[in-house]
Amino acid sequence: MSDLMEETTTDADAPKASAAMFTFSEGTSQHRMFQLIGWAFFFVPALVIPYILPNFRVSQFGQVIAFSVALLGMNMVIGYSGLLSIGHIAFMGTGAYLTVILVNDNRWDVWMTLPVVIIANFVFGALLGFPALKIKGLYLALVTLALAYTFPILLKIDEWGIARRTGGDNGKNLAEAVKPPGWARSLLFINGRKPQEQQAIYQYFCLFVLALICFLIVRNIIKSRPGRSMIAIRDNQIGAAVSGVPLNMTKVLTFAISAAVTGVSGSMLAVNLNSVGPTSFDFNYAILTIMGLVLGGVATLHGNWVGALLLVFIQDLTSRVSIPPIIPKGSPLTRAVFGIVLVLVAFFMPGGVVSFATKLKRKFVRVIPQVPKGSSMDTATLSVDSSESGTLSGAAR
Amino acid sequence: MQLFLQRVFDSMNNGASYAVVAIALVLIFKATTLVNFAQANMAMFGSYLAWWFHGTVPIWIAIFLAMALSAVGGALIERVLIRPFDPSDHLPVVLITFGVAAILEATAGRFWGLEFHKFESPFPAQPDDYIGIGGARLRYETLGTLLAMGLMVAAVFLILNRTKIGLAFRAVSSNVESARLVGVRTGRTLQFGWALAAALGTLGGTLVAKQTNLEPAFMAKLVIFAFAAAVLGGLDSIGGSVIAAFIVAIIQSLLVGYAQSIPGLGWLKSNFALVVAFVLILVVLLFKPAGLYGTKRVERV
Repeated sequence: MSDLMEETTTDADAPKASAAMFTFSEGTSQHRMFQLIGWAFFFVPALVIPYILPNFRVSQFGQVIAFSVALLGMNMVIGYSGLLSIGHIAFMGTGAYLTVILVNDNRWDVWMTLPVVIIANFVFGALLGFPALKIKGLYLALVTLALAYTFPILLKIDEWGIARRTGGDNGKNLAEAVKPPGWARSLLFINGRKPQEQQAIYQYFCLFVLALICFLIVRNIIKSRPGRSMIAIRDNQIGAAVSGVPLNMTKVLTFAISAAVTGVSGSMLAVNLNSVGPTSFDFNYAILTIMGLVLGGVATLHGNWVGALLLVFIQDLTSRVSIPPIIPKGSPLTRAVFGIVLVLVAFFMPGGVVSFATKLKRKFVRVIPQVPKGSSMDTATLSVDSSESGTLSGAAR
Repeated sequence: MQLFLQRVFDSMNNGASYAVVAIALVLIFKATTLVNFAQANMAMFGSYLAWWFHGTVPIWIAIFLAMALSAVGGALIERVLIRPFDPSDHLPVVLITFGVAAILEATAGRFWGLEFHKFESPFPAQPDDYIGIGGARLRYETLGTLLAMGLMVAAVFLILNRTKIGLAFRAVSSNVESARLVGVRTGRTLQFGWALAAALGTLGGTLVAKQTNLEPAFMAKLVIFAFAAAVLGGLDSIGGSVIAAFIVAIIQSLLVGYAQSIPGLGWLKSNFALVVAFVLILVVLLFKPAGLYGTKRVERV
């Protein structure tokens, strides 16, 4: 059904698209050049940022990277599988706390904690996946919301040494900051800088590489069989089951992998902030991350980092707006500006920033899909990319 | 026994407020199959209005005025911000409700400040205004809150089951397409749902504000309890959510009360009671996925 609809829309677009400024055939050298330029627009700023901005800004961008991985994990469950989970912030917290506790109390190396974080969160995620088999839609949202609400409270329990290990209300500082080894200093050309700057730049690049790895892994999962199964379940559960998709296995696995990815993002955040505290993983952040996800674009890969960028900077930026007679500087009304921005985004970019940008791009650039050699598929099916057209409607139905 | 009765009586007040807000959430859910993330702040704003009006008029008139204004506001929000969107696409509406919440919070902060305001109880609240039952004190305040909630629930039931617009609302919430085909004006009907929900939220807010004092975030926790109640009762069942609201409130009150006297359970404080309530709800949902009284989902292929 959706194939049919996609096909008709491509046909309808055809006359308009012929007026596009650039037209490429897929796989030609021009097309590859175009893609390369697109990637350059992403990578050049990302690689230059740590060298030109002051330390606290670099740290803010480190936060963006950490949250982009968190959104990536959440997107697997919310976007691609259509299961509305508000509780992923708890997995992020578990990752962060595990890293800090293992480093501080057990003298582990920071990066060595990652496998533990991944395995522990994989198990926790699978455990949350089991109730999700039975409980659906907004009922599942409540159960996961309970997790988000409960997590900071659980950290503060005085019994059984929990509060002692987690630091209770105050949280904990990472005992050993991540410092660049000699080879990394020469690789990144930061030998001449102050130690603090060296540390900030090195941390940024560590997070950046980790995030790239996470994005690659998740992208490959989405494009391969388990990912297709998730999307099939989201779009039509019964249809997917009839076609031989193992429902329970796929759902539990999705929760487990997504929790593991989100846990890694928590460790990244702990490294970036050099500390953890219960307020970084409370209910507000649960809501903020959902907002970032929706702003960026659900069920898109680029939506994750765009959403994280907005999540970190939008409140900061809107709080600086001042329109002298109505909104004086620093008045509580600046939060209304934030609200108005959200409303405007909903009106003008209803699918999030990324789907808006994709639509805009289609006006200027048209890529003609080509049949791969030796394939019997026709072009119409090739142009369908159902993974990019998801909505939350499946989640709340 | 006396202590037990006392704790049950104390929980009634909370239960009634949860019930009223839960009904507001259920109404919006029935209308749009969506949870209104702005519900907490809409109710907060309405309670502030009531507090503000109370400067010039008696408290009851102030509450009614605030409810009426909230209804107008709810209807306006629906008309301007919700109706332009395709009801089957939830993402933009989620953003809209987040945005409305932020705008209302900011506006309340601008006009009434971030500090606490005392909200006068609309019921007799002197220390000796109570009836003794088995040694426990049933306060007039609690009775009044229960009465207000009961009247409100009766009014909602009458509106939904005995009036034309209520019939239209039930038709729309059961099937939007079919309702539109038989000539129901779906937009206006949903607008009515939003107005009713906003008014109910304001009532719930004022019922609880007399205990918690007013500040821009005072409704956030109440709405989580109300959401828990709505889910436990079944998201599309008004009666169910009322019953569930009292169940949640009683669990909360009894757990907090008794855990303190059992050695080893001292950590079970007010916040943690919610955790236990959540676990109970999870268990209920595992056996009844649509809540206690919700409509079971039947899927057609």
